[in-house]
This record gives sequence, structure tokens and C-alpha cells, in this order.
Amino acid sequence: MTTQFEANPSNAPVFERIEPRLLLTGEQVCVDYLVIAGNDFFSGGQACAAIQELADWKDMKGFRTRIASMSEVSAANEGVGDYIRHGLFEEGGAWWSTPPKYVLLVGDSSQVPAARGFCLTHEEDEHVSDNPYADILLYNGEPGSDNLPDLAIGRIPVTTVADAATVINKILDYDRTPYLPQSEAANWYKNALVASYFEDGALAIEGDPDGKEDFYYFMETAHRVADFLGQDFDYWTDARGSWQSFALAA
Amino acid sequence: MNDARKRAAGLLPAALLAAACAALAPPARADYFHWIGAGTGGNTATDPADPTTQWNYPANWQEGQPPSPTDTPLLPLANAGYVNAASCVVKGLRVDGPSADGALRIADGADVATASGSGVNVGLFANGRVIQTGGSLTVNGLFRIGADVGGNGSYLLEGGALTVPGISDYESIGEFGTGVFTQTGGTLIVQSTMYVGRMFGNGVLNMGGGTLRVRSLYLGDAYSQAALNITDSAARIEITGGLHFGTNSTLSAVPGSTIHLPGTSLTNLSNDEVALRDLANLTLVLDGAKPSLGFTMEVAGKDYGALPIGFYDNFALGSLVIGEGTTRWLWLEDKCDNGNRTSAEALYVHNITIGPGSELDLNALHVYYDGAFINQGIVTGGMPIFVPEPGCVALLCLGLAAIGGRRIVTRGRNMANLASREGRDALSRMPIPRGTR
Repeated sequence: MTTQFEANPSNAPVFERIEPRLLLTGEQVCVDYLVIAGNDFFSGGQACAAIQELADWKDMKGFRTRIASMSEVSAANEGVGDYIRHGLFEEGGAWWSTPPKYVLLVGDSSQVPAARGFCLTHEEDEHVSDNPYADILLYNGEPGSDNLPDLAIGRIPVTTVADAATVINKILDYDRTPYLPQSEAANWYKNALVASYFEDGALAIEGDPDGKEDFYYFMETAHRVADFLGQDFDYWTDARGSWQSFALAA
Repeated sequence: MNDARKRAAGLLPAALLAAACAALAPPARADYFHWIGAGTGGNTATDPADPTTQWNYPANWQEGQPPSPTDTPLLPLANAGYVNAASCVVKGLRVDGPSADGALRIADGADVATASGSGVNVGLFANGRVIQTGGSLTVNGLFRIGADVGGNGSYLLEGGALTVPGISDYESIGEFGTGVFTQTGGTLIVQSTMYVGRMFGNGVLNMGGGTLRVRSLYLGDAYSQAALNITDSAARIEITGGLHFGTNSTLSAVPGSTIHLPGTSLTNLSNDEVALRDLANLTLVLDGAKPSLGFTMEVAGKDYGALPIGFYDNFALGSLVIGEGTTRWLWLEDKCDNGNRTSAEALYVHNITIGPGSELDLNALHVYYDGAFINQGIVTGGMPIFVPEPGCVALLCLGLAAIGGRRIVTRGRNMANLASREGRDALSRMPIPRGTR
């Protein structure tokens, strides 16, 4: 999983702001890399081989790694977000003294529920996102109120063990033996694709889709990503009826 | 009601619930042992005689005993104290704390090894520092310095042996984070790959002595920064696989520096001639125990023809020795556009030596030299072209001009045409040899 923070260390969360909390049990448990997977990826209480292999690899890289099933999350009578931030608040600080730095969700939203979040600049509009799970620091005395991620979170949106194995194997291959080009023709590090679309007809507005965007969050985000990458980009449009799909390639 | 308010309303039940859940929670996968001796809690002791610096002193560990082979010690050093290692086998090792002043020190008599399938991380999310003056560290797994975002690691190898024996493992210096490895003595052997700058990291490899033997050495890539600094020509560098200069690599090397290449390739993706200008101080020696082993090498310079300018900031090499103590075959190639492809890129090298039985295949690419060309072997695909020294060129021009001038003056006298433009120009450019006026 290549996260947004891995792409730009300057965006790394400022964990210095988090003070380790004493645990109610007196036990200090720190987890650097937390995997939360749907129950479909467990058998007999054991994670499937692919998830286990990924955890072993992260463990080998020095991350204190932990795999949790949704059953474990449910046993704690908490949602995914509370589980991730567990330990930040004195009344709930039981499992880890500092929160994880990386969180990987394995499963589709039906297996590991997604959160609902708000766009930073359009707080009136709620949308599905895992971002609130990463928004764990206290802000003005309340958790998660600044809409900015404090840890790196990613999701492998698969529904079966076989699909999970396919994706995880690709990730492991990439991480273990990064493809280092021998010639400029294969220098794919320099190419990125950011795809988005105009949100035409996103709401039941009369006359939609009409070829005009009703919202522009996705395009705006794509532009920001492209700007962040700092490369020139090409712009394509594929008009299909009133829906238009675009790609920004940096 | 938001999460915080809900929690505040149900403080006690939540606490009881959390405690119950904690009891149910499985332990983290790795058993980490936490150092609490010197370097932590305001203890700045460094003396190996001080028990708080000693690895095997039980009170220095939060768990009340030194780690076993199934444990991974974590050294969260927060000040200038030292941890003096003792011989041990541990699962992994992590030096990672708020301060870069403290250090894990490995000295004579300390042989440290990690178990297979684990790793050593020096500066993972914070700071880590290791000083090795003797003894040994054997890393049976990944060996990473400056290993993640925010990680800042350094390793100083002054003596002893540092080994990464696994063929599927690797060493990285600056992987996401910032890593510096400095070697002034001892031996570093990496049986697999060493990355200086990996995955957006920033790595520095300083070679000031000792021996480095690595299968493949990658210096940076498109998003990783890498610097190889050879500060003492006595440092021995052997690369038994490939040497790779990435896009963002820099090299500094004192004159006389040598890299031994018993391996198979040298690639160069850089477009920055200035960053690699010290290639001109390097001698690349194709040697090794595998006779007739082929070696491919990227040529990267702009083809200026047989002109001295080709040797300046143009990926020019100091010396190239093909087959020292053995026979080797060097095949030049131009797979990468190093920003100099007005025509095929070329190799400028000051000195070339081809040992007996060895072969240089130019592959129809141009090779220019301005020093010695000792050919005891075979040259195919073209022939290196001699570039006279600038002084020689000046003398040659001077001589030619002098001859031309004599003829012009003579002709002028004969034809009473000293005012001709040709004659004026020639006369203004050169001294007229004595006796011709």
C-alpha cells in the first residue's frame, strides 16, 4: 500500500502531538501498522495467507503489526474509527499507547464499513470516505473535527480471499523488488494517472444529466493531486452522452 | 451528540468495557523488548563499564531481562547515552527514538545476529544511530537505515564485520526517510541489493575506508535522492552484480578512487553531468573470478567528437580497466537518453587498459580517450579515438598557422599584396617566424 504520506514525507502526520497514554490495564501496546479485515478473510480465527504474509512483511520491516477482524472490532462494541483511535482518550485508552501510523482496511464497504465524511471546503455535503477514520487527533477538545488525516489509511477493496491474494501479491512484489528501470523508456515512476469526472446528475435535479457539472469536488481534487505531483499533465475527455469522463495524467 | 460527548457521558462503563476488551485483545504479533537504560530517562552514560549502558544488564529492559532470540529489542534513545551491545541473537532490532545523540555501540567482543525473516531498522519513524567499531552484526533479514517517513538513521562502521547474507533481503539507506551510512573501516558484505535512496527516501553512502562488497548497488531513482561519496581512495568497493546510477544520484570521489566491478553491468539514468562529474576521478576495474564474464556499460556523454571539451562535465570516466587478473568482455550500449542524444551518446575516458584476452566491444558507439590506451586484448565494433591534449592542439594550430603565415607573407612580398584580407588576418593571429621579414 503506497499511501499519501509515503508519497510525500512532508505530509506525514505529526505524531509528536500525541502523548502516550497510560493504559487502564497497565499494559503498553503499540501498533504501527494495523490491518482491519472483514470476517470473510478469516478462517478459524486466522487471517488468510495473503494478509498474514503482508503482515509478516511489515513486521520484517520493523512495524509492530496487528491484524484485527471485524469480529474483534465488534466485540469491542465499537466502530472502525473508534477501534483505530483507541487509546487516545483516557476513558477508552486500553489497547495501544499511541495510535497506529498506518491502517489498512481489507474488504469492500459491506465487509469493513466505510465512514461518512465531509469535504473540507464544503462541509454541508456528506460523502462516503475512509478519511474520518484517519482523523483521530483532538482538535479543539473534540476528536476528528479538523477533517485532516492524522495517519495514513488505505483500503484494499476486495470481496474474496482470492482477490485479496492477487492484490496483496502485487503490493508485496512492488515493495520487495521495486521495478527499477534500466532505460528511460521504462521510467514509469515519472508517470501518474489521476482520474475523475464531472458530477453531472449526482443529485436528482430535473433535467440532469445535462452535460453541466452540478458539483466539482472530484475534478477539484484531481486537479489538486495533479498540482501536488508538480508535473505537466495532459487532459483527455471522453464524452459519452451527457456524462463526461476525464483523466488527468501527470 | 458527537463521539467525545458520548464518551464523556459514559465514562465509567466505557472504561470497564475497554478494560474487558483489552483482556480479550490478542497481543501484537512481535514481542518487543524496550530498553530503559542509558540514553533514556535523562541517563547520558556512555562508559561500557557503567551497568546502565550494558545490554545484558536486566534492569536496563522494561521487561526485566535482556531479549531472547524470539524478541525484538526497541531502543528508544532520547539523549546522548550509549547502549553497549553484547553478543546475542535477537529476532529483530529497532533503534528509534527522539534523539540522534544516543547510539547503539557494537565493539570488539560483541557478535550480534538477528533471526531469519526479521530486520534491523535504524531510525524508523524517528532517530536511530549505530556505531560499530568492532565485533559483528549479522542481519538475517532487511537492514534499513532511515526506514520510514520521518525516520532519520545513521550507521558508522569503523571496524568489525557487518553482513546481510540473505539473497532475498536488502539493505536500504534512506527508504522514505533519511539515512547515512559511513564506513571508515571494517567490512560490509551485502549478498543481495543495497539501495542508497529507496522509495522517496534520501540516502548517503560515505566510503572513507574498509571494504564494501555488494551484489547490486542502486543509487537513487526518480524520486529518491542518493549520494555516493568516496572520501579516501583506500576504500575498496566491489560490486558483484550491477552498479546503477539513478536519476537523482550524485557522486563525489577523490582522485584515485576505484570501484571494482566483477559483476555484470553499469547503468546510468542520470541527466545531470555535474552531479556525476567526479566519475572523472574514478577508475572502474572489471575484474573478478569469472573469466570472460560479459559486462554492459551505458555511455552517457554528448558526442563532441575528438575535442577536449568532451571530457568536461560530460559523464567522462577517469580510467577503465577491462580484465585485471582475468579476462573480461565489455559491451557498450546506449539504452538511456542521458540528455545528450543530438547523436548517439559517447564515452569519454581518460585512460583505457584492455588486459590480455579481454575484449572491448564499442557496439558502433564512439569512445574517446586523451591519455593512455593500453590494448593487450581485442577491440571490436569500432576503435577508441585519441583526443589530443589542449596544449597539443594549440601547438598544432600554431604550427599550421605558422606555415600558412610564412606562405602568405612570402606570397605578399612576391605579389606586393600585404593588404589582402587573408594576409592581414593571418598576420594578426600569429607571430611571424624570425627571418621571414
